[in-house]
Amino acid sequence: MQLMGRRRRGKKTTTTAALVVAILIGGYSLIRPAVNEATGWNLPAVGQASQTIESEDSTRVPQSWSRNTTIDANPSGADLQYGILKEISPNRYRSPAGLLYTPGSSEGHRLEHLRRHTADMPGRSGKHGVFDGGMPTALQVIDQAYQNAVAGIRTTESTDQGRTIYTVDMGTRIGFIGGREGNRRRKPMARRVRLVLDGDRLITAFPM
Amino acid sequence: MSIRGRMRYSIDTCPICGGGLCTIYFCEGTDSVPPHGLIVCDECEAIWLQPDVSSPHCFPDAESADCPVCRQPLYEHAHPANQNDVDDLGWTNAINTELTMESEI
Repeated sequence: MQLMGRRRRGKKTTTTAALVVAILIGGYSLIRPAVNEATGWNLPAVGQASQTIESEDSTRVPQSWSRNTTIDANPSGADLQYGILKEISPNRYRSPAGLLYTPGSSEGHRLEHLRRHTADMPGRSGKHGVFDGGMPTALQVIDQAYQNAVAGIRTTESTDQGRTIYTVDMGTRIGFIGGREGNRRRKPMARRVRLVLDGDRLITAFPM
Repeated sequence: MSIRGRMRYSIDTCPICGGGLCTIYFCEGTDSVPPHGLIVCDECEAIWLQPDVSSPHCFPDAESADCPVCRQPLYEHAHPANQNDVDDLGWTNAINTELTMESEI
């Protein structure tokens, strides 16, 4: 009898604990999107590993993004610029999704221009979109954004005298907003990419 | 050529790409074309011939940008305007002081 009583009490305690855990998980799941939106954090979903992104780490690919990628990049990265771009003629590079990176811009090459968007410029007026993960990750995110844009996935598009401007919602953090304005707002996260293209040539790309 | 530390005078954010600064450039011109000013977006390279981003704009060639006025290579013949250039152009009133900063490149 005594043993049965102890078992009943133990079962009751376990049920109560499970209920409390379920309520906590439910509450967390409910408020997580709002907290992410308000703070720019990237709290993990329940059952999901932490997705903290170190923007200074140039080799790391955001886990949440890399899970969705369909780009068939050469995994060894041999002979590829930044492990993803193939040099098709001197100083001209083609990405797996078909974007062309060529000489141009005041920096001399589109890749050098893009590099500006892999680090914050806290003194720059207005906003300055910064990709997480340095050049290799930025190039992969841009390629995925281009694929999504072409497929019309969560994309808005406008054209202007031969330039195409896509805004692609990547659905997860891909960088942050820096510059003077971004720093004033404590570097809010960015999950959209703006692409400016001339045909398949990339003119510029930056997180928004 | 690095212009780090020099002031860049901008008039607006770019209405085309939404991320660029529309910066005043001073182009040296040629023997037959006098020096002139341009407004160039530092992201999408949209160019205006007047210090007014609601006026017509154009884009240079993606790989070899030329000045739309004198047809010389844009980034060789033109540079972000300094205070004297802006004064010479008579565009001082167009400067947006909140968007003016020291160059970081």
